[in-house]
Amino acid sequence: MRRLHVLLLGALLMVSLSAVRWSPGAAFAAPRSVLRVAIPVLPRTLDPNVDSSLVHFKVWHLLYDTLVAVDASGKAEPRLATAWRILSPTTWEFKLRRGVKFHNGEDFDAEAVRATLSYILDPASRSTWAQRFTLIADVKMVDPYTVQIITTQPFPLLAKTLAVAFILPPKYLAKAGAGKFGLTPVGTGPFRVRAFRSDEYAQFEAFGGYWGAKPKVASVLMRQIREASGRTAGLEAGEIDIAYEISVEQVERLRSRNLNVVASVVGASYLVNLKTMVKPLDDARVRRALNYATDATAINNALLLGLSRPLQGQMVGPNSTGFNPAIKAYPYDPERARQLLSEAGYPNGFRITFEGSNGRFYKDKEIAETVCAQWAKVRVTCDLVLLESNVWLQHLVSGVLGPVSAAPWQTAPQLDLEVPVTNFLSTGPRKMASIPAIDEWFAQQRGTMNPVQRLYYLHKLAEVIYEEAPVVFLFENIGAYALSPKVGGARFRPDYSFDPVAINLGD
Amino acid sequence: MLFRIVLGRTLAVILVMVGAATIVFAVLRLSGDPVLLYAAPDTPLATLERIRQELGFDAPMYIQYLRYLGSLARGDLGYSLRYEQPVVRLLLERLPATLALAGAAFVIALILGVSAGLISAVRRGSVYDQISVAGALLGQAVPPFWLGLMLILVFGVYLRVLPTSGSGGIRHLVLPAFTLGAFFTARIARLTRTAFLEVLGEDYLRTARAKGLPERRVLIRHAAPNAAIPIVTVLAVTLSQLVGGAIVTETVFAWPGMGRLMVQGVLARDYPLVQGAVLLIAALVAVISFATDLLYAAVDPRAR
Repeated sequence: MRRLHVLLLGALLMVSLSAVRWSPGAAFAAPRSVLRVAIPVLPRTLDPNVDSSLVHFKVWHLLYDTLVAVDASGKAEPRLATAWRILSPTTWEFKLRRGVKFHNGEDFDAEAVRATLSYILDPASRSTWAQRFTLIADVKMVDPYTVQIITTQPFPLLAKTLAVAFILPPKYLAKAGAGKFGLTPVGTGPFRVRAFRSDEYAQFEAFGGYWGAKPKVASVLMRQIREASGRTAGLEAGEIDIAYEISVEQVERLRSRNLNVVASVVGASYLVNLKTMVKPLDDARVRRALNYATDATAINNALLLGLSRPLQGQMVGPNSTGFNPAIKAYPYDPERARQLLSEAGYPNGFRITFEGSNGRFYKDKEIAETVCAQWAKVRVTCDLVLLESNVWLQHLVSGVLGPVSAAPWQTAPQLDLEVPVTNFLSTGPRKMASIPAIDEWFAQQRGTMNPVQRLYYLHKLAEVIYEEAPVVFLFENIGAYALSPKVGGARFRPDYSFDPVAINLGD
Repeated sequence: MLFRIVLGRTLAVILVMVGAATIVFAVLRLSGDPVLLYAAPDTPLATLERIRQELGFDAPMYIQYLRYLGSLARGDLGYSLRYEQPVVRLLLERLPATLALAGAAFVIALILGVSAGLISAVRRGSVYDQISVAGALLGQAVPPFWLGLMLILVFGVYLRVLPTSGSGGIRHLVLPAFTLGAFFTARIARLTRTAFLEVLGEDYLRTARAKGLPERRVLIRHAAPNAAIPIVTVLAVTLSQLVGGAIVTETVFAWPGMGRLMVQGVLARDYPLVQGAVLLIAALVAVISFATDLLYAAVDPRAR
């Protein structure tokens, strides 16, 4: 009788165990030429048009190429386009790289560029990048390796904006359709996909036909591990080579265990948004006062180990086009803040709603709480409302976010002042700000194709933004990574990606 | 007789499924807008409105509900918005991992819980009993995310005998199964102890002992069948909770089960996915309680 029980239990256990698919097991017990990367979240599909978040660029850069890339100093560099020139204020011509093949053997040519851009602009494909290319009127194929892009009005940032147009294979895309393409994607990148399971892992193998330098690792395994402690535990146990987005509290301990910890600036500026059409934020003195009342350096030191880079009274850092070296950060000066508030008619401060997100961005709740605590010293009282991540997004996109909110606004991959400022135009769908001078200088820089003149306008725009202060300038976000000592050639770029052909495992 | 029980229970299962489908439909629509999944920060409202129409979320609620019931009746759980794959495929991909974790945790809880509780009851007041009761309290009090992290640190990072996360073999199952099983082990141990203590004081056991039966026989033949009824009930409830997905354990160990999938679905307002997952879990729970009812009939003559 008892033996029967044991047998039954044993059988139950075996049945339940054998039901699991064990296939990825071999991949996790990997040879040295497999780079194993632990990341907090994989994209929901591998179509690079599904999500505009910078955190997915590390995946896109393995599989895909763009015509133009932007280097860490904000300069445009040739990729699949070898050269480009401006024929008229609304016509660009791109010369394409020859001899480039897609993973499935298709040739890369002008048709691929045309098909990719029309896929992005087709409402049916719901591309997250469509909004960036609305100025494109036409893509003309001059010959198989020359394309002209015609815009409806001058679009000085076109070349750099192409850094988000990942080139797709026209024939395969048409055959597979968007849904299947996202699961079995094909690009021209240095790696091709071997296996993909949403929310679990994606495995890539080096593509022998890649046009550029050959990758130094045979394959890359990206595993989604939501918990930061789970990613670092995997690294410490030798199961992982790179742990992405480690929490700053772990930095000391990881260093003490002889692991490399790298922190590098990413292309996102953390700003406290002040709705300039809401009283009392309609008064620039009040907005400047809030800048004087905020100690971004203290927040950086207390919450981010001092790893991030405080902004200098402008929306971008020194590696972006449009950074104005003449502008300096608002110093932390509560006395000056109180004085400005008095001048504006608020000697006893005021109460205001701060709608923050909770868990959408790294330390968002703590940052909001600290800002509010600092403002309390100048008698500005926050009614801090912390919203669940998607509710916050819903408020943002429908333009009903509270008078004060905070977010890291993307500046990458273009690394250009135009990118974050787009969110603060009076015509913007989010109704974040309404300041005529900002609209005006923004339009000026959009209207010129002369880079020197454009830079002048961007500097003017930065000055106006400093004076008008539609935001409180906090800091440029950082990415923090922990690496096993055998990983070499890992330089993390402002879009969180690493150079897939330079990275190696030391052998 | 048996036919009537089975028929009655089958009707109840169908009723439960329709109820679950209706509740999840209503509750999800209170939770937020699924179109946000497609919203980059610069997406114009008009674009979102167009996507809402394409997905059919602009139709009146009752139309959406009727459409939904219609497709359910055809066995169609729909297409996940987030993963852009059929919901059935996503669920079936994750079901084995969920069942393996639930099964292993259940077996651990059953073996450890029942034996600890039984020994505790028989050796009431002994050192063993005290350790076991304290252990059971601790097991129920320790939060699974903490226990999981501690197990990862000890067995994965320091001793390096087991993998820290992921799926891939029986070794990957050990830590999550123990983490998940700990809570239920403790609950079952406490309940078994109480159930046996109650029965052990009964007159018929004294009679059995007075007849000169060996103690082991007294326990197995006379005490166990009577103590088993509450234990079977709790085991059934435990199993139902386990197949519902162990969200915390799955997250800590990056275990690819349904719990995590469902949380992703909820966060993304992936209506079809969450609806499908809830229905599948409701079906599993209904089947388990169906089986429990049959088991009752076996252990308790009064239930027949």
